[in-house]
Amino acid sequence: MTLLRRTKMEILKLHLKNAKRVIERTYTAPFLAHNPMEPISCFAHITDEKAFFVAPIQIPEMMKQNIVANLDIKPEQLEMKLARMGGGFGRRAYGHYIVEAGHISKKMKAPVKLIYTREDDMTNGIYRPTYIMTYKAAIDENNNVTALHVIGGGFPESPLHENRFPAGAIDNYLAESWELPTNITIGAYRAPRSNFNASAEQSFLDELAEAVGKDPLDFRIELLKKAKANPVGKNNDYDVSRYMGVLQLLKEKSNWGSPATKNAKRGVSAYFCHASYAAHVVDVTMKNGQPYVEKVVTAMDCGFVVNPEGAKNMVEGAVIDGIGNALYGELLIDKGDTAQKNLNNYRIIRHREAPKKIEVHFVQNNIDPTGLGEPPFPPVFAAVANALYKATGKRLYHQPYLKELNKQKA
Amino acid sequence: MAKFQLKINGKQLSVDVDPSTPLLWVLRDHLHLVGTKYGCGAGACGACTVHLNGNALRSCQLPVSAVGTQAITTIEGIATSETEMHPVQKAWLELDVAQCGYCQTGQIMSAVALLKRNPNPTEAEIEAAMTGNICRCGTYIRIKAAIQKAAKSTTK
Amino acid sequence: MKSENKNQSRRSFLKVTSLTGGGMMIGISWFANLIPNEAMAHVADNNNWVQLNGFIKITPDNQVKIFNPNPEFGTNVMTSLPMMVNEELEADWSKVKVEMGDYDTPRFKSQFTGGSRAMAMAWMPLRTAGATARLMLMQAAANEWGVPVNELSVSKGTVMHKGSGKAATYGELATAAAKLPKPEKVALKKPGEFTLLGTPQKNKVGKEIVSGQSLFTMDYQVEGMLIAMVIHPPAFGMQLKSFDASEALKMPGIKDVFEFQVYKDGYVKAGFDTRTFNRLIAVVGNSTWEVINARKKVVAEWEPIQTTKEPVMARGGRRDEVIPAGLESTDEHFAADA
Repeated sequence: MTLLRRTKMEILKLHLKNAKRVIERTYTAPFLAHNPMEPISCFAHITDEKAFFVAPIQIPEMMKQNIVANLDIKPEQLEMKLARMGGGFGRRAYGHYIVEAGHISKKMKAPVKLIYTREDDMTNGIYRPTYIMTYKAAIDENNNVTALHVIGGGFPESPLHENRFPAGAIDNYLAESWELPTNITIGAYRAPRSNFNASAEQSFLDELAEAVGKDPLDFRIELLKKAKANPVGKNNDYDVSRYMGVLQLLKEKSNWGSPATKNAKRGVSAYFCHASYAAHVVDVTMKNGQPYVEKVVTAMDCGFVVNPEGAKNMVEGAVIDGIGNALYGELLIDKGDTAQKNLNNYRIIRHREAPKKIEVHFVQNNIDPTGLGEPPFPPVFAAVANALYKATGKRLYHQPYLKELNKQKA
Repeated sequence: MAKFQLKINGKQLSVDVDPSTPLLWVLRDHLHLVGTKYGCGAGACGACTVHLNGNALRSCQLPVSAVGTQAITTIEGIATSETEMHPVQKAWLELDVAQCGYCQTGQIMSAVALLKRNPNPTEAEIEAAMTGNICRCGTYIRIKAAIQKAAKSTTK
Repeated sequence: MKSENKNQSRRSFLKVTSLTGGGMMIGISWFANLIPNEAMAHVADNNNWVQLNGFIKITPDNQVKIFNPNPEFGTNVMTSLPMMVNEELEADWSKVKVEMGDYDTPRFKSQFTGGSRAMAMAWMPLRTAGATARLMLMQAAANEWGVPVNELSVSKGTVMHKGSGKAATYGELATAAAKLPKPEKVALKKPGEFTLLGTPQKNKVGKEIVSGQSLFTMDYQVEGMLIAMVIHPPAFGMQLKSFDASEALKMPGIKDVFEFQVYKDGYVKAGFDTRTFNRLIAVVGNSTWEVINARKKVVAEWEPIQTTKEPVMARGGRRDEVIPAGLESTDEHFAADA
């Protein structure tokens, strides 16, 4: 620990010790399998002249040295057609299957198509890591949040983005990480680390808002105003105005305070990642004890929107992906083996579980375009959890939330 | 190995395969009709949906030996004519449904079968009929809207 | 196991192709017991494409093709990235064909699907590619007509000279334009001047998707192609000890069953080379179902791994990554004490 960190830690401890109230909460999330609809596959035909592939690969350049080195071919012999991919979500950034197909074609001296069955794909995956995050906040007698301690950890990486909101908005702030090795392969999954970081952070902020007696949406805006006027620290990686912008647009467009239907309860969440800003209001109802997200309103700032129709489709998809993973997404490991092996027990959101309506509102600006495939995904989780709290009175700390709800009921 | 005469998209086609071969792999590997997709092989995702006598069915679960003389329709056989798509396909295009696109042929086959037996389905009926078709990209709202649009276009 | 009537169906396929002028057809594979990607080869592109730069090709009869550099996995870059090119190129968007570029990153500057970076990384280079090509086409017209280039305007793939009333399509100008030097500097439109960017445009691959065309790797087939599957250890923390393939090799359609090592010993993995099970059993045969059945007959013995260190090049330096031995369970992970 550096001296600065040690000092920060001491001050933080003092605040936590002298606080009127301390709130400490721990959040967890399981491994997730990407499960793109098209299972892993690759076509290879290696001859003396060339190494020809038809490959579903997200970043071909990153695979080049691997293919060349492990198949003993010359770089100029490599020819690769980039087939349309039946989904990826990060799974197809890892092109080991190209090398595998190449080895097999070489041995067979023939054109070969390597196919993973769904079971192969799910039991031999490169999963979203499992994460744990603990937040500890000090609240003074005037209901100000005076200190925040964040510890994030995981197998084998921490989810933490230490310079992200609410860094900058709280006077005494320390974020720490731990990592433990695992032999389970992990990798990027739609908005890596952010997809969990956002769920923990935005759930905790919701609970903090309640603890200090404030509206959860206004509470976030207040913190942002503070970060704008008097930013704490110099390394905050988000643009305060754009972050506030999506929350204000969301407040207006969602008619915050009045859910779309009378039985619905609302939750809010916002996040910054991949250079863009996203915020959601989620309306949930409980039907026969089962949660259902009936409507979502989204405010999005991804700079200039290149193709509004395609962009809207992308946000809708990210929202539905987020709802599905928040409620159902879970890959359990039992003695090194995945408990889920196919889509009959690895639960992916289906038609009747999708919202009736998703409204997407883009902030209109001429900033050069920033990210869109990932940013709307991470904040969905906490918006669902926060709405479920309103609907059930239960705070949810462990994903998938449906399992946690059922556990609490039992 | 055994020979099978199959009636697919109105044509008689013959294959010589193991009788246990699922219709899915007969279509894809032996007849090169690749619009019918492999997603799970367990009847759990709907990507391989075809019609057997007009009813939606998971082709990964049907051994070729069980097909007999029943009529099979695949995505390659639903267009209205050589130059005109099926109204459901047109609705899919008008609402720009697809993202990655891999599941969409299976979705369309389920939708076509639904509208054939129920030209004016309610929202709940659409959800019930389509819930066996997973879309990992999450295009469900557009799929539902496209089915409603196709229903309107064919019943007006 | 051979498909019948292959030649006959190939003929009927070609007939249909010629009827529709080689354009996109619905249900093409249906006419044939023929291999879809062979079919693609038969609709060989006999057009005289003139390449203006890495992203743009034009035929003398005025077909315009724009290449999408980024691998497409559903974010619709096949539409949005060519839109960037065409905003500046100003061809007729409704008629522009888009094509997925092959792996050729020097040509395309960037081919990166991940990190939500497609739009940002393409924003300058793709609009610049469109603008330089348009300038070259305008310069070709200016040379031909003996007028200054600043008197010319373009609309929907046609260059016009108001003073003389002259007009020429991009197709007519492409051959001459391709011989001109590439302009060093081009001015790009400002957002307020966009006519295509910022407007809702439908997926350029929509028809192929809804008609079940061969688009995906899973769909790719060529004559003589074999199907392969790999068998990996039954748990993380296990590795292959030995196997017996004698029964599997007796199964119909099976060509070979063998062990192979994916990465060489000591190979320094880069960030995207992740692969836990390095020794796999390949089962290779004529068709998918035959391989699925045969792999069940392979009798493999597995053994626990020892804790190892693997060299990895990541986050700016080479380090050793610890791969711990043991069969892990979710419960233990969540019991971990930070």
